[in-house]
Amino acid sequence: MAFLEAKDLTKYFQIQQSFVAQLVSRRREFVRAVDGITFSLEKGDIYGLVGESGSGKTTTGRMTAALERPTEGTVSLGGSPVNPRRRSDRKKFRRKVQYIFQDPLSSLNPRMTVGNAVAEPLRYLSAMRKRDYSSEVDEMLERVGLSPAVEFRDRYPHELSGGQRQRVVIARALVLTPEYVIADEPVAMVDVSVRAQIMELLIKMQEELGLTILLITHDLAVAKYMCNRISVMYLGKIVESGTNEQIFSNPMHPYTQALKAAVPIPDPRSKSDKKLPSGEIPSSLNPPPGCRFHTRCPYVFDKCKTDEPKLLPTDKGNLVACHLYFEGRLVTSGR
Amino acid sequence: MIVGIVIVAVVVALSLLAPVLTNVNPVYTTGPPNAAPSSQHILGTDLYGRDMFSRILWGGRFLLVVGVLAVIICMAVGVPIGLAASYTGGIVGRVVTLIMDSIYAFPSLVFSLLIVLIFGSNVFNYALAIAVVYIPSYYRVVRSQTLAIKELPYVDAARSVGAGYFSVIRKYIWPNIIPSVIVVATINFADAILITAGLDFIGVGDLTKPDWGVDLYYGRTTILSGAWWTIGFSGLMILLTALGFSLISEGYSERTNPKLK
Amino acid sequence: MIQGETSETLLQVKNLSVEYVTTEGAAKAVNDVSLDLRKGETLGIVGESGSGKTTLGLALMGILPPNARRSGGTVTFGSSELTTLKEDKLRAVRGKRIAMIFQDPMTSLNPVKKIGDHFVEYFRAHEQETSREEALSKTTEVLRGLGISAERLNDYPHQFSGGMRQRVMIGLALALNPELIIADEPTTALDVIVEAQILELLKILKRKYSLSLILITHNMGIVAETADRVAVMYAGKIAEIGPALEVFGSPKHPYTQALLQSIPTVEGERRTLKVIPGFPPRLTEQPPGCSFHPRCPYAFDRCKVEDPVLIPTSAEGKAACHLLEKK
Repeated sequence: MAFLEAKDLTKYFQIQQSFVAQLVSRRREFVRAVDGITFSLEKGDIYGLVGESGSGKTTTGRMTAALERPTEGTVSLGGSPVNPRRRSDRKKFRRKVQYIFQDPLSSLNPRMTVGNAVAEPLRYLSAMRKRDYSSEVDEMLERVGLSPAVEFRDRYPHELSGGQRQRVVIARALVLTPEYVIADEPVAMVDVSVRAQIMELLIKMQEELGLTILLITHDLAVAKYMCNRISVMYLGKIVESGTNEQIFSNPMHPYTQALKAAVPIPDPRSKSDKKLPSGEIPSSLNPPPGCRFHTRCPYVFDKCKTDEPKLLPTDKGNLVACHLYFEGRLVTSGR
Repeated sequence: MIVGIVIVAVVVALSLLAPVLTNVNPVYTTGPPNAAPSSQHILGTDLYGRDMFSRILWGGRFLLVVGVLAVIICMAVGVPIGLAASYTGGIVGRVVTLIMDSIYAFPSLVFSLLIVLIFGSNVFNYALAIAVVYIPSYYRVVRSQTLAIKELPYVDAARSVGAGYFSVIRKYIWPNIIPSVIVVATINFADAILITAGLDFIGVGDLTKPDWGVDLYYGRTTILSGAWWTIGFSGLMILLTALGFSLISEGYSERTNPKLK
Repeated sequence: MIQGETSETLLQVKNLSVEYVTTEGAAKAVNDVSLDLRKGETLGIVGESGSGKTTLGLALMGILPPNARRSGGTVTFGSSELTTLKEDKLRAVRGKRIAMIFQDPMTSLNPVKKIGDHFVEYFRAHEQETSREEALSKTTEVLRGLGISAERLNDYPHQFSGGMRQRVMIGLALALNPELIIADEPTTALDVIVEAQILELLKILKRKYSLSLILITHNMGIVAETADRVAVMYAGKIAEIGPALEVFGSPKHPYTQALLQSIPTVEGERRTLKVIPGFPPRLTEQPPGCSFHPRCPYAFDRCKVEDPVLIPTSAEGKAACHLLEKK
């Protein structure tokens, strides 16, 4: 049994309409943030959910952390569904699952010291005695590299640098040794010269604590460095899924190929002739029929406009949702 | 803001030290009526021959006490309701806001007037009258701040580490809205002073107490005969006190806004 | 870059310094920066938070925020000395000869004004005799070159997607045929694929209109792919400057070296990234001597007290590091 399983996971957000509009139009408008995706994580994975804006990756991550309720579909952790009903079960869940938010500045209470912030999970979710908090907190702060802990304990978030704040956020998430951590763009808001620190920290913590991590990012390079398995999302659907090796040496879905080609490389010699898809990401209110990427795909043909491709396994073991591969048509994989 | 604090501090000091600074009784006649300022009565006397200087020193007490009480009542009622209703959201939030908006729409002076007329003119009733009318202002400020903060990631983060309803409000929302509440409280104070003095000026309430507003009431007639000192100084004191609080309010709100890099 | 183009200097910055006035005293955001831009080239200015790159860009245009002031240096554009020009003369330069593109188009565009009107107003502000029809036809042409159809002239900014809005911004920047465009993080707020589209567009437009471009960003990848020459900034100073091939191929400054080794890429083998300890210093907390020394693996005594100056490391490259002087 997989560590985390998501089946047909769906989330639609109803958009706020004005009072009058609600009375007048019968039709309700929905943002189809996540539209029926299925994937699973094995214990010890650093699993990447890669996508641009509107892909639904953050919403998916939130659903696996019980921060959003799925409109349809299920998510289960170790067999039991996420979103337990009973209060005591919820507490147990929160001990096992933690979420690292994207912006370290706004995910820390500006009026709370670092020490107190990291102690919060202990306060609510553990049976520890108050006087034992500080030693636990200090140990965690040291572990994430905020040393000496006594110096950082009494500081406020605005007194720290972006990278330090991110370490605090990580410390808070890991202080109770959870099993499953969702890291939402952990380095996007951190200075470039500090990103390696944070990525290495997460990898180190994963090893030391035996974590399973869902890494949500738009940055393919980060995913390549950190993740062993990756799913690429576009407009609420998974378009390709595979191991790090598979996705990067041999991207199969046209979108994955485009995404990879578009990333700028810090090497002026690489004259990559970029064949970029035209246009921009359509709105999730009204996704294109058939394959959602067809409006921008350089290989589009008739079937793509009407039939939505299913996410199917190839003979190499990865999964891809594209008519090119299961039609007997083009089976040339990758460029 | 500093100027405001200084002004208020002076006024409070004067009011507290009144018995020390003058031994002239402000309520009894101690000199000829409508006497111009002289060495005996530095600020002159009112139409009943009461020493103005003494009245100025003693006249702030009532207003300040009403102000303090009003602010306390308002905060004790308005803030918790605001926090709870806004954080809970949904139907509860909408209903409470509706109620608050209705009270807010009421003309405050009229309402206060009614309460004092009906229930009597002691300190507490004045404070109550002003408080009832002002609670919606606190509610609104608390609500808008709470709604904004509620959406911030750190509240989400608090919930995901297990913080319950009350913990979130107490530790995550309240500490971050204190500055705005202070701003409203100081304006509240200024307004309380003005309303109380205003009510006294129209003749409602106990006209025997030494009070700047009462001075204005009596001084209405004497000004016509040229005795400006009867309302001049009292009016000035009211103005200064209200101004002092307003300055504190403005200055503080400027300071707590994001500073320039 | 068009080869054979005269490599005359278009912009010359000498010893430019900009200070911010803060509650803790004056803080130098740009510290004695000198650089040249040749006609037709793309200069990439790369740096992180606190590097001063954005302030530099604003200073070049003369649009520093009210709490900042130029505390020294000169900016020579063509034959004009921009730092001595009065505001009205500067305004003639801005837009017509130098145009700027910012990071967030949403805040640069007026939400209650139609896109077409933005252009019309812009044209007429600079060339009063232009009639509305003339302005509109010029606008249509510019937009067509950007991939925006003429019907969208009557739309409002919020009806455009992020990438389209940025194209509009580029259109506005190009409208009066400037010689130089300064782009400050033009693609940071955009998705990866749109970012690549916009960068391609800039390259095309640059060739078509013979522009010179200063590209300010924190993204090394973008700089590598678009810039001819690169200036690496750290804590308000230039750490290294030179042709892109040199700076990326054989970086001389420890900061550049460390940075390049710490950035993950999508190509190539999965290698271990080199971690740079510490963090970029804040404006008000600059370390003494070389600002990078607390994080530098090669720091020695001199670095802690003396600030290195830029010395030539090759025909076209310079770097500011005491290590280089040892040779």
